[in-house]
Amino acid sequence: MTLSVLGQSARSYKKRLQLRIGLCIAGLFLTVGLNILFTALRTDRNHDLMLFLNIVTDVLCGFLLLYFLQMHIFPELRLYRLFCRNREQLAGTVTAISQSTQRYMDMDCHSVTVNGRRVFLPAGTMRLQNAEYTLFLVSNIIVEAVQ
Amino acid sequence: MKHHLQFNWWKYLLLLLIPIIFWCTVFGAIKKPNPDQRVHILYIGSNLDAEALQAQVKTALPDLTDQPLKAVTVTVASPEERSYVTLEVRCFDYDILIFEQSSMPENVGQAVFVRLTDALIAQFPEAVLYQEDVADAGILTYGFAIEKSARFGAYYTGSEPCYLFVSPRSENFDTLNENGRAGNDAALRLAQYLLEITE
Repeated sequence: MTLSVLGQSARSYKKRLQLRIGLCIAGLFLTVGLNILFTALRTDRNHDLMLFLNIVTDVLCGFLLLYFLQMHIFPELRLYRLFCRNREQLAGTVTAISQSTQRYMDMDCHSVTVNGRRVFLPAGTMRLQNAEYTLFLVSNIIVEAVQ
Repeated sequence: MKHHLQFNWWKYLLLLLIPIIFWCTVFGAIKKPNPDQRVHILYIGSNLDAEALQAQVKTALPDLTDQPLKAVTVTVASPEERSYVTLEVRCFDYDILIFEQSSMPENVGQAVFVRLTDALIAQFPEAVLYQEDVADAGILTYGFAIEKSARFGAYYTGSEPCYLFVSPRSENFDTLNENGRAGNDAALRLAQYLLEITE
C-alpha cells in the first residue's frame, strides 16, 4: 500500500492547484472590473457611495484572497514542490509518532521516529502506524510511504 | 486559523489601509471642485484668446481675492449654443457669461438672467450698463457692456461689442446675487478686473 503526502496522484493534485490559482486570478479580475464599474458610474451626487463601494470591494477581495492563498494554496504548493524533488529512501520501523505538531520548513509537522532517526510528517496528510515502511524523504520530510 | 491570524494580522491591516488610502486619493483627484472653490467664465462667440485670458486671470486672482480656489477656467462656446434653455443650464456651471454681440440672443437678460441689484451695480461705478426694456417694469439692468479699453479687450480680437452677465447661480458674488455667499467674492473681483479700464 502506497501512501502519499498529496493524498492523490500528482497530476490531479496539480490540476486542483491550478484550478484554485485560476479562481484567485478570476477573483482579482472581477474586483478590478467592479472597481472600474464603480469609478465609471461615479457622479457628483453618488461620489461618496462609489468611494465606499470601491473600498469595501477591495478590502473584502483582499481578505478573501489572502486567506485563500495562505490556507489553501501556498501550503499545498509547498507540498507539491516537495513531492516533485529528488528523494532519499529510508526503510525501517516507525516506533513513535508525536501527537503534537511543530514547525519544520514552514509547515506544521508531526515528529516521526524511524530506526532511531527523527523525520517529519506534514500534519493532516497521511496516517502512519507503528509498522514497517519504506519511506521516501525530501529534506527529512516524508513525502511517500510504502508498506 | 488562530495561528494564521497570529502571524498574518499585519497583512490584513495593510489590506485594509491600502485600499482606503488609494481610493481616497483617486476620488479626491477626480472630484470636481465645489461651486465655491472655482470660478468659471463662459464666452459665447469667437475672436477670443481664451488661453491667454485664462492664464492672466489665474495669475491675477490671488491678488484680487482671499477666497481659496481650486479651478479658474475660461471656456469658449460655439455661437450655436445660445438657446435660452442651454444658457439657463450653463448658469449652473459658470459664474460669468460673456457674449459677443452677434452671439447674444434677444432679450437674454430677461430670459436667462436676473436683474442686477443696486448693491451689485454699485460695485461697478464706471461700468456701462446693459439694460433691457421690460414690459410693466421699465428699464432694468441685467449686465454690463465691456468697453474696448477694458482689460477684457486685450484678449478680444473682434470688432463687436461684448457683454458681461452675472450668473444668478454663482456662489462667488458675495451676497450681491441670488446664491452668493458672504465672503466668496472671487467672481465679483474677477468681473471688476475684466471690466476695469486700462490705459
